[in-house]
Amino acid sequence: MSEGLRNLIASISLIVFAVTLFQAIYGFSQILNPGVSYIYNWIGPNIAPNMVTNVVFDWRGYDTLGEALILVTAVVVVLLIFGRGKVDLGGKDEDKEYEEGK
Amino acid sequence: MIVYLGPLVIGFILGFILGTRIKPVPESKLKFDKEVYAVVVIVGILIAYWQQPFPYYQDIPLASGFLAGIVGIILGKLTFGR
Amino acid sequence: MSPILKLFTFPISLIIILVGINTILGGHITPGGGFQGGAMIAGGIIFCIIVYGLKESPIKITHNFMGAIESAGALGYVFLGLSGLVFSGFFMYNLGTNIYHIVPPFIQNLYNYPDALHAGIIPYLNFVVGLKVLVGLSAVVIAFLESDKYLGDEEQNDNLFGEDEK
Repeated sequence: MSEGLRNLIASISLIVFAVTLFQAIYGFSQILNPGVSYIYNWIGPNIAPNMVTNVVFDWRGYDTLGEALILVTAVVVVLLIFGRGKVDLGGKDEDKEYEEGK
Repeated sequence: MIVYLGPLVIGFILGFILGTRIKPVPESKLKFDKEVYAVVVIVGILIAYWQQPFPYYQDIPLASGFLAGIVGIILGKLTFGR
Repeated sequence: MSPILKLFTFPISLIIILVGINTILGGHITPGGGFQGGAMIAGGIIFCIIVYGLKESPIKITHNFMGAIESAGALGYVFLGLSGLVFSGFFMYNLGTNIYHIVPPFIQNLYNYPDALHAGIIPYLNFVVGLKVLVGLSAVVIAFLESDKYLGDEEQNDNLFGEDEK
């Protein structure tokens, strides 16, 4: 595609996305609904003063178990790839044969 | 007056685990003698006094987890770090 | 590395490790907790390893140690959750603060953290997550630093399948 056509498509898509996103945020405070946070704010300070730790480790402890599992998986995969050094798998070394045959 | 056992025990266990990994290297020119650990103890006590204790704790005016950590590291090095 | 760096790195890394331990202990009161404190302790260890090199560093971590500590951290979290399943009907129920009054007070006093605020098993969870994060981040840096260990064995690896003896 030519340069001008790509610029035109990019600007049209930018205008469409910007209008959509700003229309979702406009008048946001009238559609907010407290819901269950009244219960959290009433029980929470009896357990611990830090509300973030309450939510992460007490009411959503199962999700934190999944996050710890992600850390273990990442470390295991990195150690598998980078832990072996050079390994000889057999076959011919083509650079050496080219230099010897020259 | 009440002494809270929780931070002391867990701070000591963490310091002990990390202190067993400090080992001397025999054939190098770097030497870490007892003066280094004396400086660390003095600076550690000063920092524990300036970081006042956690809120809602009323036993001593120092941060008790810090002191337990220092004791744990030094005991770990003396026990297993030959 | 210059002599100034080699002079003060070891005491400073010990102080960084101590501040990290203080962050893990106050996970239920102050901002911070298990993940953040573990990353600070790993920062102290990595500082010492990079400045002195792998052979002369005073803080030495072997592969067996890393495997043992990471397994202890992950299994400790799961067993704390399973004990909540055994004594009451829910997985990872907070046995220290019994907000539904299901568990008899004998078990509640056993699992409570002896503190000014009664936060239950939350500080124990912070401790095991801190162990796992500090070992995980140090293992990646150590694996990158020792990745050229096998480059000097090229002559040994060339004759691996006995090709030159025909």
